[in-house]
Amino acid sequence: MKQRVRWSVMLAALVTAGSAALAPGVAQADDNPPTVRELLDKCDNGTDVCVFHPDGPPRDSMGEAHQVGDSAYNCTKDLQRSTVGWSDTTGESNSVGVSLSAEYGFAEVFKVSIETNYSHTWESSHTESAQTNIDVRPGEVGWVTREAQLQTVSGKYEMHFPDRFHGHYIWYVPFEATGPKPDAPSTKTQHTRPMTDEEKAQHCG
Amino acid sequence: MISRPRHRVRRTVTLAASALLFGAVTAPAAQAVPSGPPSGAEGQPRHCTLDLTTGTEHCYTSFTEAIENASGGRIDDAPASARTAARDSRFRAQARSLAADGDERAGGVIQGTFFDDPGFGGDSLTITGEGLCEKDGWVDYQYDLEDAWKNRISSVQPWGNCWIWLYPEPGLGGDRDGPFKENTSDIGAFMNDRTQSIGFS
Repeated sequence: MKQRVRWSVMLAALVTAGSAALAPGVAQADDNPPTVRELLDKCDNGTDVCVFHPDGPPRDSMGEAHQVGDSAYNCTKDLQRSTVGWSDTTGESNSVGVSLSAEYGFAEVFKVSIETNYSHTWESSHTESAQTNIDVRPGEVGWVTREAQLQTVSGKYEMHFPDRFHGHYIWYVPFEATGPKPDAPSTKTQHTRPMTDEEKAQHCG
Repeated sequence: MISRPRHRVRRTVTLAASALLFGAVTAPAAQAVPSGPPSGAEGQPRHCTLDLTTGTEHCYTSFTEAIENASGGRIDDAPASARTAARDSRFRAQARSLAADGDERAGGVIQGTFFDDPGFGGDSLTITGEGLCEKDGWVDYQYDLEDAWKNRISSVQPWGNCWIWLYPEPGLGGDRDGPFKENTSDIGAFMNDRTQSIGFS
Protein backbone atom coordinates (compact mmCIF):
# COMPACT_ATOMS: atom_id res chain seq x y z
CA MET A 1 0.00 0.00 0.00
CA LYS A 2 2.78 2.35 0.95
CA GLN A 3 4.61 1.64 -2.26
CA ARG A 4 1.51 2.28 -4.24
CA VAL A 5 1.06 5.69 -2.66
CA ARG A 6 4.67 6.57 -3.38
CA TRP A 7 4.32 5.52 -6.98
CA SER A 8 1.29 7.67 -7.50
CA VAL A 9 3.03 10.65 -5.97
CA MET A 10 6.06 10.33 -8.18
CA LEU A 11 4.05 9.58 -11.25
CA ALA A 12 1.92 12.61 -10.57
CA ALA A 13 5.14 14.60 -10.39
CA LEU A 14 6.21 13.16 -13.68
CA VAL A 15 2.97 13.95 -15.41
CA THR A 16 2.87 17.50 -14.15
CA ALA A 17 6.54 17.93 -14.94
CA GLY A 18 5.76 17.15 -18.51
CA SER A 19 3.01 19.72 -18.66
CA ALA A 20 5.11 22.30 -16.81
CA ALA A 21 7.54 22.37 -19.67
CA LEU A 22 4.86 24.04 -21.72
CA ALA A 23 3.86 26.50 -19.03
CA PRO A 24 5.08 30.08 -19.36
CA GLY A 25 6.65 32.09 -16.55
CA VAL A 26 9.06 29.54 -15.21
CA ALA A 27 10.59 30.88 -12.00
CA GLN A 28 14.15 32.04 -12.33
CA ALA A 29 16.97 31.85 -9.83
CA ASP A 30 16.88 34.52 -7.13
CA ASP A 31 18.71 37.58 -8.43
CA ASN A 32 19.22 38.88 -4.93
CA PRO A 33 20.37 35.97 -2.79
CA PRO A 34 20.54 36.55 0.95
CA THR A 35 23.82 36.99 2.76
CA VAL A 36 25.08 34.35 5.16
CA ARG A 37 24.28 36.71 8.01
CA GLU A 38 20.77 37.21 6.73
CA LEU A 39 20.25 33.48 6.57
CA LEU A 40 21.70 32.78 9.99
CA ASP A 41 19.45 35.42 11.51
CA LYS A 42 16.58 33.16 10.45
CA CYS A 43 17.92 30.19 12.39
CA ASP A 44 15.20 29.20 14.87
CA ASN A 45 13.53 32.45 13.93
CA GLY A 46 11.48 31.46 10.93
CA THR A 47 12.84 28.02 10.19
CA ASP A 48 11.35 24.60 10.77
CA VAL A 49 14.81 23.13 11.21
CA CYS A 50 18.14 24.73 11.97
CA VAL A 51 20.98 22.33 12.73
CA PHE A 52 24.73 22.85 12.72
CA HIS A 53 26.74 19.96 11.30
CA PRO A 54 30.46 20.12 12.16
CA ASP A 55 32.67 19.01 9.31
CA GLY A 56 35.30 17.45 11.52
CA PRO A 57 36.85 17.56 14.95
CA PRO A 58 37.93 20.94 16.32
CA ARG A 59 41.26 22.04 14.89
CA ASP A 60 43.80 23.30 17.39
CA SER A 61 46.16 26.15 16.68
CA MET A 62 48.23 28.72 18.51
CA GLY A 63 47.23 32.35 18.48
CA GLU A 64 49.67 35.05 17.52
CA ALA A 65 52.35 35.81 20.08
CA HIS A 66 51.84 39.28 21.47
CA GLN A 67 53.25 41.31 24.31
CA VAL A 68 51.36 41.38 27.56
CA GLY A 69 52.05 43.84 30.35
CA ASP A 70 54.61 46.61 30.26
CA SER A 71 58.24 46.40 29.24
CA ALA A 72 60.86 46.40 32.02
CA TYR A 73 63.88 48.64 31.43
CA ASN A 74 67.00 48.01 33.46
CA CYS A 75 68.79 51.32 33.84
CA THR A 76 71.09 50.02 36.63
CA LYS A 77 74.47 48.36 36.48
CA ASP A 78 73.13 45.18 38.11
CA LEU A 79 71.02 42.30 36.94
CA GLN A 80 67.42 43.04 37.87
CA ARG A 81 64.56 40.69 38.39
CA SER A 82 61.43 42.52 37.30
CA THR A 83 57.89 41.33 37.86
CA VAL A 84 55.52 42.11 35.02
CA GLY A 85 51.85 42.02 35.87
CA TRP A 86 49.50 41.43 33.00
CA SER A 87 45.97 40.51 32.04
CA ASP A 88 45.11 39.27 28.57
CA THR A 89 41.82 38.36 26.92
CA THR A 90 41.53 35.95 24.03
CA GLY A 91 38.41 36.55 22.00
CA GLU A 92 36.66 34.71 19.22
CA SER A 93 36.24 35.38 15.56
CA ASN A 94 33.86 33.83 13.11
CA SER A 95 32.84 33.98 9.51
CA VAL A 96 29.91 36.34 10.07
CA GLY A 97 31.58 38.70 12.52
CA VAL A 98 28.92 38.43 15.20
CA SER A 99 29.79 37.43 18.71
CA LEU A 100 28.49 33.99 19.61
CA SER A 101 27.98 35.26 23.13
CA ALA A 102 25.02 37.28 21.86
CA GLU A 103 21.61 35.70 21.97
CA TYR A 104 21.19 34.81 18.35
CA GLY A 105 19.44 31.59 17.43
CA PHE A 106 22.32 30.39 15.30
CA ALA A 107 24.78 31.07 18.11
CA GLU A 108 22.77 28.96 20.51
CA VAL A 109 22.49 26.15 17.97
CA PHE A 110 26.24 26.29 17.42
CA LYS A 111 27.10 26.24 21.11
CA VAL A 112 24.72 23.39 21.87
CA SER A 113 26.23 21.44 18.99
CA ILE A 114 29.72 21.91 20.41
CA GLU A 115 28.65 20.88 23.88
CA THR A 116 26.80 17.83 22.62
CA ASN A 117 29.44 16.61 20.22
CA TYR A 118 32.67 17.51 21.92
CA SER A 119 31.72 17.49 25.60
CA HIS A 120 32.96 20.97 26.31
CA THR A 121 31.50 24.41 26.19
CA TRP A 122 32.26 27.06 23.61
CA GLU A 123 34.05 30.02 25.13
CA SER A 124 33.63 33.32 23.35
CA SER A 125 36.39 34.86 25.41
CA HIS A 126 38.87 33.88 28.06
CA THR A 127 40.88 36.20 30.27
CA GLU A 128 44.10 35.16 31.96
CA SER A 129 45.93 37.29 34.51
CA ALA A 130 49.33 36.61 36.04
CA GLN A 131 52.62 38.07 37.13
CA THR A 132 55.72 36.93 35.32
CA ASN A 133 59.32 37.43 36.46
CA ILE A 134 62.00 38.48 33.99
CA ASP A 135 65.72 38.73 34.63
CA VAL A 136 66.89 41.82 32.77
CA ARG A 137 70.61 42.51 32.37
CA PRO A 138 72.01 46.04 32.71
CA GLY A 139 71.09 48.25 29.76
CA GLU A 140 68.51 45.83 28.46
CA VAL A 141 64.76 45.79 28.20
CA GLY A 142 62.60 42.78 29.04
CA TRP A 143 59.02 41.89 28.10
CA VAL A 144 56.59 39.00 28.18
CA THR A 145 54.65 37.52 25.28
CA ARG A 146 51.70 35.21 25.41
CA GLU A 147 50.29 32.76 22.86
CA ALA A 148 46.84 31.35 23.54
CA GLN A 149 45.68 27.98 22.33
CA LEU A 150 42.77 28.29 19.94
CA GLN A 151 40.25 25.91 18.50
CA THR A 152 38.45 26.23 15.18
CA VAL A 153 35.18 24.53 14.41
CA SER A 154 33.69 24.67 10.93
CA GLY A 155 30.69 23.13 9.28
CA LYS A 156 27.34 23.87 7.73
CA TYR A 157 24.01 25.01 9.03
CA GLU A 158 21.15 23.05 7.53
CA MET A 159 18.09 25.27 7.44
CA HIS A 160 14.59 24.27 6.37
CA PHE A 161 11.98 26.92 5.70
CA PRO A 162 8.23 26.32 5.76
CA ASP A 163 7.92 28.48 2.68
CA ARG A 164 10.50 29.36 0.11
CA PHE A 165 13.04 31.84 1.41
CA HIS A 166 14.65 33.71 -1.45
CA GLY A 167 13.40 30.99 -3.70
CA HIS A 168 14.52 27.94 -1.74
CA TYR A 169 13.13 25.63 0.91
CA ILE A 170 16.51 24.38 2.09
CA TRP A 171 19.70 26.29 2.58
CA TYR A 172 23.11 24.96 3.56
CA VAL A 173 25.11 27.77 5.10
CA PRO A 174 28.85 27.54 5.77
CA PHE A 175 30.13 28.73 9.11
CA GLU A 176 33.47 28.73 10.90
CA ALA A 177 34.40 30.03 14.33
CA THR A 178 37.70 30.26 16.18
CA GLY A 179 37.90 30.85 19.91
CA PRO A 180 40.00 30.10 22.96
CA LYS A 181 40.48 26.42 23.62
CA PRO A 182 38.85 25.66 26.95
CA ASP A 183 41.11 24.62 29.82
CA ALA A 184 44.20 24.85 27.67
CA PRO A 185 47.26 26.60 29.09
CA SER A 186 48.77 29.45 27.14
CA THR A 187 52.45 29.83 26.38
CA LYS A 188 54.25 32.66 28.16
CA THR A 189 57.73 33.64 27.05
CA GLN A 190 60.22 36.09 28.57
CA HIS A 191 62.34 38.12 26.18
CA THR A 192 65.27 40.54 26.61
CA ARG A 193 67.36 42.65 24.28
CA PRO A 194 69.67 45.67 24.58
CA MET A 195 67.91 48.98 24.78
CA THR A 196 68.21 51.28 21.81
CA ASP A 197 69.71 54.71 22.29
CA GLU A 198 66.27 56.18 21.99
CA GLU A 199 64.91 53.85 24.69
CA LYS A 200 67.83 54.66 26.95
CA ALA A 201 67.21 58.36 26.52
CA GLN A 202 63.51 57.95 27.10
CA HIS A 203 63.56 55.57 30.08
CA CYS A 204 66.94 56.04 31.76
CA GLY A 205 67.51 59.77 31.41
CA MET B 1 15.75 -4.34 24.10
CA ILE B 2 15.85 -3.41 20.47
CA SER B 3 12.71 -3.29 18.42
CA ARG B 4 12.61 -3.25 14.67
CA PRO B 5 10.93 -0.40 12.85
CA ARG B 6 8.48 -0.93 10.10
CA HIS B 7 10.44 -0.63 6.95
CA ARG B 8 10.07 -1.47 3.38
CA VAL B 9 12.44 -1.11 0.55
CA ARG B 10 11.37 1.84 -1.46
CA ARG B 11 14.58 2.63 -3.22
CA THR B 12 13.79 0.64 -6.31
CA VAL B 13 10.53 2.46 -6.68
CA THR B 14 11.94 5.90 -6.12
CA LEU B 15 14.92 5.34 -8.36
CA ALA B 16 12.66 4.29 -11.16
CA ALA B 17 10.44 7.29 -10.64
CA SER B 18 13.42 9.58 -10.50
CA ALA B 19 14.77 8.24 -13.70
CA LEU B 20 11.52 9.05 -15.40
CA LEU B 21 11.27 12.44 -13.74
CA PHE B 22 14.77 13.46 -14.68
CA GLY B 23 14.54 12.15 -18.15
CA ALA B 24 16.80 9.20 -17.41
CA VAL B 25 19.94 11.19 -18.02
CA THR B 26 21.93 8.62 -16.18
CA ALA B 27 20.74 5.12 -15.65
CA PRO B 28 20.45 4.72 -11.91
CA ALA B 29 22.71 2.10 -10.47
CA ALA B 30 21.63 -0.14 -7.65
CA GLN B 31 24.90 0.66 -5.93
CA ALA B 32 27.40 3.47 -6.15
CA VAL B 33 30.30 3.06 -8.45
CA PRO B 34 33.40 3.29 -6.27
CA SER B 35 35.84 5.87 -7.51
CA GLY B 36 38.96 4.48 -5.90
CA PRO B 37 39.71 3.69 -2.31
CA PRO B 38 38.21 6.09 0.23
CA SER B 39 41.50 7.05 1.80
CA GLY B 40 43.18 9.98 0.13
CA ALA B 41 46.77 10.29 -0.92
CA GLU B 42 49.40 10.76 1.75
CA GLY B 43 46.99 9.92 4.53
CA GLN B 44 44.77 12.96 3.94
CA PRO B 45 41.10 12.31 4.65
CA ARG B 46 38.96 11.89 1.59
CA HIS B 47 35.42 13.18 1.45
CA CYS B 48 32.98 11.53 -0.90
CA THR B 49 29.41 12.22 -1.90
CA LEU B 50 26.97 9.65 -3.13
CA ASP B 51 23.75 10.49 -4.93
CA LEU B 52 21.23 7.74 -4.20
CA THR B 53 19.11 8.87 -7.10
CA THR B 54 21.76 8.24 -9.70
CA GLY B 55 24.22 6.05 -7.81
CA THR B 56 26.96 8.52 -8.71
CA GLU B 57 29.87 9.01 -6.33
CA HIS B 58 32.38 11.84 -6.28
CA CYS B 59 35.31 12.31 -3.93
CA TYR B 60 37.03 15.49 -2.81
CA THR B 61 39.92 16.53 -0.65
CA SER B 62 37.81 18.71 1.64
CA PHE B 63 34.51 18.17 3.35
CA THR B 64 33.38 21.66 2.41
CA GLU B 65 33.94 20.91 -1.23
CA ALA B 66 32.04 17.67 -0.87
CA ILE B 67 29.04 19.34 0.72
CA GLU B 68 29.03 22.14 -1.80
CA ASN B 69 28.98 19.63 -4.59
CA ALA B 70 26.42 17.46 -2.87
CA SER B 71 24.09 20.41 -2.72
CA GLY B 72 24.93 21.71 -6.16
CA GLY B 73 26.62 24.72 -4.64
CA ARG B 74 26.10 26.66 -1.47
CA ILE B 75 22.37 26.63 -1.97
CA ASP B 76 20.40 23.48 -2.01
CA ASP B 77 16.91 23.55 -3.22
CA ALA B 78 14.43 20.79 -2.99
CA PRO B 79 10.87 20.42 -1.94
CA ALA B 80 10.23 18.92 1.44
CA SER B 81 8.92 15.72 0.00
CA ALA B 82 7.89 14.02 -3.15
CA ARG B 83 4.36 15.15 -2.44
CA THR B 84 5.46 18.75 -2.37
CA ALA B 85 7.40 18.15 -5.54
CA ALA B 86 4.24 17.14 -7.28
CA ARG B 87 2.64 20.46 -6.35
CA ASP B 88 5.64 22.65 -6.96
CA SER B 89 5.78 23.98 -10.46
CA ARG B 90 9.24 25.50 -9.99
CA PHE B 91 10.69 22.19 -8.90
CA ARG B 92 9.10 20.60 -11.90
CA ALA B 93 10.69 23.17 -14.11
CA GLN B 94 14.04 22.59 -12.49
CA ALA B 95 13.67 18.86 -12.87
CA ARG B 96 13.20 19.45 -16.53
CA SER B 97 16.17 21.74 -16.59
CA LEU B 98 18.33 19.15 -14.88
CA ALA B 99 17.34 16.59 -17.41
CA ALA B 100 18.29 18.94 -20.16
CA ASP B 101 21.60 19.89 -18.56
CA GLY B 102 22.53 16.38 -17.64
CA ASP B 103 23.78 17.60 -14.29
CA GLU B 104 23.02 14.70 -12.05
CA ARG B 105 24.82 16.22 -9.09
CA ALA B 106 22.69 19.29 -8.63
CA GLY B 107 19.58 19.42 -6.54
CA GLY B 108 20.09 16.54 -4.12
CA VAL B 109 18.99 16.73 -0.53
CA ILE B 110 21.65 15.71 1.95
CA GLN B 111 20.33 12.86 4.09
CA GLY B 112 23.35 11.83 6.11
CA THR B 113 27.08 12.04 6.56
CA PHE B 114 29.18 9.15 7.83
CA PHE B 115 32.70 9.39 9.21
CA ASP B 116 35.51 6.89 9.47
CA ASP B 117 36.62 8.07 12.90
CA PRO B 118 34.87 9.20 16.08
CA GLY B 119 34.42 12.95 16.46
CA PHE B 120 33.58 13.34 12.75
CA GLY B 121 37.16 12.61 11.85
CA GLY B 122 38.84 10.84 8.97
CA ASP B 123 37.22 10.04 5.65
CA SER B 124 33.58 10.94 5.17
CA LEU B 125 30.71 9.80 2.99
CA THR B 126 27.79 12.18 2.42
CA ILE B 127 24.66 10.64 0.98
CA THR B 128 22.11 12.67 -0.94
CA GLY B 129 18.69 11.62 -2.07
CA GLU B 130 15.67 12.98 -3.78
CA GLY B 131 13.97 14.49 -0.74
CA LEU B 132 13.61 14.82 2.97
CA CYS B 133 12.63 11.85 5.11
CA GLU B 134 8.93 11.92 5.73
CA LYS B 135 8.75 10.87 9.38
CA ASP B 136 5.94 8.45 8.78
CA GLY B 137 7.47 5.43 10.49
CA TRP B 138 8.96 3.96 7.34
CA VAL B 139 12.46 3.62 6.03
CA ASP B 140 12.34 6.04 3.13
CA TYR B 141 15.79 5.35 1.71
CA GLN B 142 18.40 2.69 2.21
CA TYR B 143 21.90 2.04 1.00
CA ASP B 144 24.26 -0.92 1.00
CA LEU B 145 27.78 0.33 1.56
CA GLU B 146 30.35 -0.44 -1.10
CA ASP B 147 33.19 -2.70 0.04
CA ALA B 148 35.57 0.17 0.65
CA TRP B 149 33.21 1.67 3.24
CA LYS B 150 32.12 -1.53 4.96
CA ASN B 151 32.95 -1.92 8.65
CA ARG B 152 34.37 1.58 9.06
CA ILE B 153 31.71 4.00 10.28
CA SER B 154 32.33 5.46 13.74
CA SER B 155 30.36 8.73 13.77
CA VAL B 156 27.27 9.91 11.93
CA GLN B 157 25.25 13.01 11.15
CA PRO B 158 21.60 12.75 10.11
CA TRP B 159 20.45 15.48 7.71
CA GLY B 160 17.21 16.12 5.86
CA ASN B 161 14.82 15.22 8.71
CA CYS B 162 16.17 11.68 8.60
CA TRP B 163 16.88 9.27 11.40
CA ILE B 164 19.77 6.94 10.69
CA TRP B 165 19.74 3.19 11.29
CA LEU B 166 22.90 1.13 10.99
CA TYR B 167 23.05 -2.58 10.12
CA PRO B 168 25.97 -5.04 10.07
CA GLU B 169 24.80 -6.81 6.93
CA PRO B 170 23.71 -5.66 3.47
CA GLY B 171 20.02 -5.13 2.85
CA LEU B 172 19.36 -3.85 6.39
CA GLY B 173 20.18 -7.30 7.71
CA GLY B 174 21.42 -8.52 11.07
CA ASP B 175 21.54 -6.45 14.23
CA ARG B 176 20.41 -2.89 14.15
CA ASP B 177 21.55 0.26 15.91
CA GLY B 178 19.65 3.51 16.06
CA PRO B 179 17.86 5.63 15.50
CA PHE B 180 20.57 8.26 15.42
CA LYS B 181 18.44 11.38 15.48
CA GLU B 182 21.17 13.99 15.76
CA ASN B 183 24.86 14.45 15.13
CA THR B 184 26.55 11.59 16.97
CA SER B 185 30.29 11.88 17.41
CA ASP B 186 30.63 8.30 18.65
CA ILE B 187 28.09 5.69 17.68
CA GLY B 188 29.26 3.38 20.43
CA ALA B 189 30.79 -0.05 20.58
CA PHE B 190 27.76 -2.00 19.42
CA MET B 191 27.98 -0.97 15.76
CA ASN B 192 31.36 0.76 15.63
CA ASP B 193 33.25 -0.38 12.50
CA ARG B 194 30.47 -2.88 11.72
CA THR B 195 28.07 -1.03 9.45
CA GLN B 196 27.36 -2.51 6.03
CA SER B 197 23.98 -0.99 5.25
CA ILE B 198 22.13 2.15 6.24
CA GLY B 199 18.47 3.00 6.55
CA PHE B 200 17.03 6.53 6.53
CA SER B 201 13.62 6.99 8.11
